[in-house]
Order: sequence, then structure tokens, then C-alpha cells
Amino acid sequence: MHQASDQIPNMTTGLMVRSRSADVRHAAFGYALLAPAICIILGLNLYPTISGIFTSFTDQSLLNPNAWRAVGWQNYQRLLTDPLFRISFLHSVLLTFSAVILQVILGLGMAHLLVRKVPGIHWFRSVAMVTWVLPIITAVVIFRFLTLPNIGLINLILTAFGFGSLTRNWFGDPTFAFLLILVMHLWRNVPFYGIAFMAAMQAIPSDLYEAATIDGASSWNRFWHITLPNLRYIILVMVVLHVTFTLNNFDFVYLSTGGGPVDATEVLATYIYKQAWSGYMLGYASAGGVIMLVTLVLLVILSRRLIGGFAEK
Amino acid sequence: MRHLQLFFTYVGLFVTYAVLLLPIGWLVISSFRSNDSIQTGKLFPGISELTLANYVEVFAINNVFIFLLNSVVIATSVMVLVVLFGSL
Repeated sequence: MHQASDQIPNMTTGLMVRSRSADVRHAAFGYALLAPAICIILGLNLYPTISGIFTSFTDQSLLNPNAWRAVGWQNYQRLLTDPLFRISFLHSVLLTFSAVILQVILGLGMAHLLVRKVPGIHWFRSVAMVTWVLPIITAVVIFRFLTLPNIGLINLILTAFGFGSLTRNWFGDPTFAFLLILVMHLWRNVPFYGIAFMAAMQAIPSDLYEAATIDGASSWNRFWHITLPNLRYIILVMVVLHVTFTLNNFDFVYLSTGGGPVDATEVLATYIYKQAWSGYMLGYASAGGVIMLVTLVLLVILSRRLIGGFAEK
Repeated sequence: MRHLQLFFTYVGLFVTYAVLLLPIGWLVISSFRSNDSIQTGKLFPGISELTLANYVEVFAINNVFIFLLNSVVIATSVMVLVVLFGSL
């Protein structure tokens, strides 16, 4: 046994060395081909991220960017004691959770409608993405126009139906401003969910439903035990994507309310932007950005765990 | 039963699409109204109130074609570069 195993390695190592050197050459050629892409990714993604993390430990200011000194965790301590930062953080997380959960629920509803093969459904399917392809600034202009105090469509309709006392300047009201930001997210994203879920639902074999119907499953049971488990991957993809989109969202908030009224819609993105470009505090803003990055990573992991755990059932 | 299901599907579809398209429709209608007409706050403007003046103004006064060209140049170059670097 020992003798045999002494002999074979000689042969195999001889073979292995040759094939390994070929492998190395092969791999080197592959890495050479990858090099430009890796350089671009490192230069454009990794370098700014690391330099941002580095800046977050300094007191760099826009007023005199070259005179900076390291301040350790001071920026983070100041952030955590800033009530406005806490509010923005809370708003961001609240907005992300409520928007993504409502989008999944409404998207499932819309997919259920779109998947029906009723006459004329193609028309509905083809215009579904119209709110998604609209530029965000157009969406914001539409919503600001709809919610104008005197001539906005919402107030006009309320007045026409005799609810004149409910009319208000919607974006000027702290409660409704935040809700409107949420509504804008839903209005823009739900059709995307609807189309994605519809496509995934069409791929579910119909014999599953037939077998379940024969076994006497109610429509709710068919949805819960067949549709939902089959949609788990697309749901995971959409949730992870939109957790990122919503937490990072800057344009909806900044263009519609700018974080106002009285900070009612301030989110992390707008808060950081203001600290950097109105407060001139680059280090402080970078610290906020790092906290945002960590939050985002945690939220993505959390949503993967939640949906992944659900998918195991 | 079948007809009922069909009916509810269409009701759901029309409600959904009313919510999605009404804001855009309101924007489109308003684009054909003069400022004075919008300020009256009427939900349904008369046909006589509709005008193309806004469009004339957009094309006559502002350099909309330059803006459009800028957008097209940016969109095209971004698309080409993303495909190029994405396939590297």
C-alpha cells in the first residue's frame, strides 16, 4: 500500500506540475484580460468608498479641504447625539420598511390582475411600466402640481365632492408630506413589482394549481402554498433592490420637500447632502455616509434572512 | 361565476390604472391649458379653453432642442460605455 502510494505521487506530481504550470499560464492570461475591468472597478468603486471611510475619521471641511486632522470617532459621537440625525435615520428606516412591504403586497395584487388572460390585457400590460420609465423629476413635478393648495387636483376633487374642509397644502403638512413621499415611491415602483411578479407567476406550471383544485384547496391556500413559494426568489431580488433604492433615495425627497416642513421628511440622504454642501463638513457627512452604508448592508442581510427563512418552509 | 370574476378583474384593473394614469393625464390636460384657465380651478375645462400656446412657447422661447440633444448625447454615450465596460 505504502509502496504503491510512493510511486504514484511521483507520476502524478510530474503530471500535476506540468498541468499546474499550464494552469498558471492560463490563469495569468485570464487575469490579464480581467485587469482593465478590475482596475476600473477598484478605481471607481473601492477607492471612493475607502477614502470616504477615511474622511469620516477626519475633520475635513469644504472651506479649507487641505487642512484636516484625524479626530478619531468624534464625528460618529457627534452624529449619534444630533437629534436631527436620529430623526433622519428613523425616517429613512421607516420609509424603507413601509415602502418595500407595501410595494410587495400591492405588487402581488397587481400581478394577480395582470396575469389573468382577459380580453385586452395586453393593453394593460404594455402601459404598466409608464410610471417607472417617467423621469423622477417629472413624477415629482406631477405630484407637486396635484397637491397645490388652490388649484391642485386633489383639493379640487375634495372640494367638488363636498370635503372642502379637508383641503390643505399637502406638501406643507408634516404628516402628509411624509405620506406623500411614501405614495410617490409606491406610485412609481408598484407597477415594476407587478410586471416582475406577473412574469414569475406565468412560469409556475398550471398543473400545480389543477392538482390543488382537485384536492379541494381554496384560492387562498393555492396562493399561500403554490404562488408565494414559487415567487420567493423574485420577491427576494425585488426586495433587496428596492431596499437599496429606497434607503438611498435622494431625489424624491430633495426635489419635493427638501427635507421640510420642519424636518418632517428629512432622510439620511438629504441630511448628509446638507451637512456636506451647506454645512461644509465633509468629515461629518462622510461619517453619516458610513452609517448609512452599514445600515444598508444590515437591512439587505435582514431581508435576505427573512425571505430566505420564509422560502425554507 | 366566470362573468363575475371577469367583472372584478376589470374593476381592479381600471381602479389600478386610474390611480397610475390620472396624475399623468392631469399633467397632459394641463399642458393644453393657459395659466388663467388653470387658475380658475375647474376640473373639466371647456374645449375652447384648450390651447397649444404652451407648446409654442416651449419651442420658441427656450432652447428645448439643445436640451433634448444633450439628453440624447448623454443617454447614448452612457449606454455605449456601460455596454463596453460591462462586457470587458
